[in-house]
Amino acid sequence: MKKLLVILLAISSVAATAQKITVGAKHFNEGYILSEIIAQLLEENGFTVDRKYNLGGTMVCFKALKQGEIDVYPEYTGTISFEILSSGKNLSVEEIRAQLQDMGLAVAPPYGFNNTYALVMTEALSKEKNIHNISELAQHPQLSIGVSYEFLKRQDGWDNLSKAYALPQAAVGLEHGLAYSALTENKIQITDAYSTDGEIIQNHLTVLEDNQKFFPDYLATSFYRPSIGEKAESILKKLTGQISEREMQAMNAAVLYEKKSFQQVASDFLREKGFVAGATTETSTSIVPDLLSKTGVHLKLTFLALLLAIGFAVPLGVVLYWHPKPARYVLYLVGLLQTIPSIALLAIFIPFTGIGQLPAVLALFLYGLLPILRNTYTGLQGIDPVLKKVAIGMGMNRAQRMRLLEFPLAIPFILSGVRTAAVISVGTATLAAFIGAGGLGEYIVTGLALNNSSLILRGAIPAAALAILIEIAFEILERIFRPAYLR
Amino acid sequence: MDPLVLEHVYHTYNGQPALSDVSLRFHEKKITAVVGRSGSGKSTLLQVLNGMLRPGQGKVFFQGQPFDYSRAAALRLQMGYVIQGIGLFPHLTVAQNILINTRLQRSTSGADSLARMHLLMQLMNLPEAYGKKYPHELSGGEQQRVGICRALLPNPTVLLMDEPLGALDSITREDIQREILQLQQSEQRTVVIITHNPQEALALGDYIVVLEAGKVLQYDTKENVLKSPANALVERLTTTRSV
Repeated sequence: MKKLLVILLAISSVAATAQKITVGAKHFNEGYILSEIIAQLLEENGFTVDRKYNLGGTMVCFKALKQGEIDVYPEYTGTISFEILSSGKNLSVEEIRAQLQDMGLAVAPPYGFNNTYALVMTEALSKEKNIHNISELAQHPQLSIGVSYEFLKRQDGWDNLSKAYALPQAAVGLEHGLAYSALTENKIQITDAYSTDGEIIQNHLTVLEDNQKFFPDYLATSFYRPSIGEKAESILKKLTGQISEREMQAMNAAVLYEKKSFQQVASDFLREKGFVAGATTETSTSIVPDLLSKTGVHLKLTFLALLLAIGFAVPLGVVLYWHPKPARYVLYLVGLLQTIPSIALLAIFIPFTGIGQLPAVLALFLYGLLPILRNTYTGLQGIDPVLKKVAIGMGMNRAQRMRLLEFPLAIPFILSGVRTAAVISVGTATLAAFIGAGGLGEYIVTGLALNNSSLILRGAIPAAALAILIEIAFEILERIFRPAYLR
Repeated sequence: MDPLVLEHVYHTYNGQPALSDVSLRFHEKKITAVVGRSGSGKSTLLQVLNGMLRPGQGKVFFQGQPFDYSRAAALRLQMGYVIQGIGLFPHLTVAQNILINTRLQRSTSGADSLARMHLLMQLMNLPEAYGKKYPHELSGGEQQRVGICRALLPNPTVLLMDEPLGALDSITREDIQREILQLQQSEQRTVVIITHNPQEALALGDYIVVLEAGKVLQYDTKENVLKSPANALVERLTTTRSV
């Protein structure tokens, strides 16, 4: 009895130390940094952390959290109010917490900063004109204002803002990427920004105070499943009020302009705040093994999906050829699948399969169906009717005609359909990174979020090379399988 | 026993009568040539004989039994089938084309089939080396010779031919006609050959069927048809040979 108790205790203590928490991240700079801060903080406190980053947009993250695919990710109160709870107004943290309780989800107290829309101007001009909040803009009608097209149109954008503050200026729309250089070159004096953008620090800009509280709050906080347990919850709460807007701007700028990894930025932050002891432990590893493993995953996703598509579409094509009446509708339906945007198709399966490689393979499988199915069907249909007549006349049954005559003659068509599907699949597989499937797309998605073009190229070049290699491989394959009569 | 018998067969095609009260007994081991103009119902007749068309009315007998449409494919294995379009399978060599039947029936032995293929190729004046060629490498006449070899490989009791020489030049046509007659001498079987060409009907047929607008105008031995044509139309058809 005593022995048993000891064993049980041992098991339970092992289970406790090995508690695994899965941390998700939204695919943009700040999302990665905050997720990494959470992850490292949990690890520091004895948890095992599984990182599932690159999770696309809000809805992908939220569904993953709801399904228990991830346990926690950083989210903003405004996003939760408007997009997740569809409340139509900005809710307080307490209201959000109450509404989430029904779903079995929770939010920690905010980290402290508010990442909302803001109007910015250069520090120099702000000092010269003595402008510190938005109300003061009304006294400077000569200032020209250029804002992003989205901000121009949004409910919480320029129109309502200028009404609320009774601003006399008219704003022009411009591409957001150009706004900062337009500002430093003094082509415009005011633009919109997110209040924690790294560019604010980099370009020496001042955020004008929203003194009438026009912009809704987007307070960053940990969005989590209470099932992670009280200990983990208390660790998440350690971040309460710890990150100011200035600090977040600095961290964003560190990744964007100092080209630090977000792991590094996160660990620097935790050390600075005293959450983590010890010296910096930067580990730089060769990219080759990582590149190879991502290429491997990429190929695995592509070919698994392709094999499934062949295994499904070719027999279906044969059945449709035998029963042509429903063929039009089936082809139409499969064609419809093709029109679903890839990222949406990738997300569709999450409620059923969770995130990861399974939904990615399923989505790639669906994309591969149309070219293979259509080519199988039309390949079979296009066979010379004289041959079919002779085959029937000489006493071949349906299966024999398929095996000896129709299928062999359709093979070149089927192969070219498979080729198209393979190339589509390799390309689309880069998007699978958005739902945590890995592959070369991880570089691209991370690179996009960090605005790091060398990281984007690290994924894009091998992906393009794979597409070319697949083309070449199929060319060879088609040459081998090209029937003698076509040589 | 006559292997192919039609009794009061009627068939309509898109509302148009294609065969109308056709009763015919095709005699064992004889060549019967069915002659008629385009649209006279010749091709319909042949398709009724091998069960590809099930007539609207009337009875079809094959080897003394009513044609069993549920076993159509199996029954057709005992009928050779040759058509104008030839229809050699382009992805198979000549030899594979001729031997295709061995892949449809398990009972056939490989060695016997090979020997038979060589015999048939010899009878049809096809060099043995052609076995390795692909159909597109052969002339039209050679292709149709291969088509005939293919149909005869399983030594069917019945051979059905639908305008087999229709697309060939007259010299090649006469060569193949001679080969068909030689074949018939060495291995006699019931042959039904459809043709629009009276000359060909008279060259090949032991019996002649004259078909007009889906009706049998005359069915008799070649000699009788020549001696006493049933009417002016038959006479006109049969005397064109002197042209």
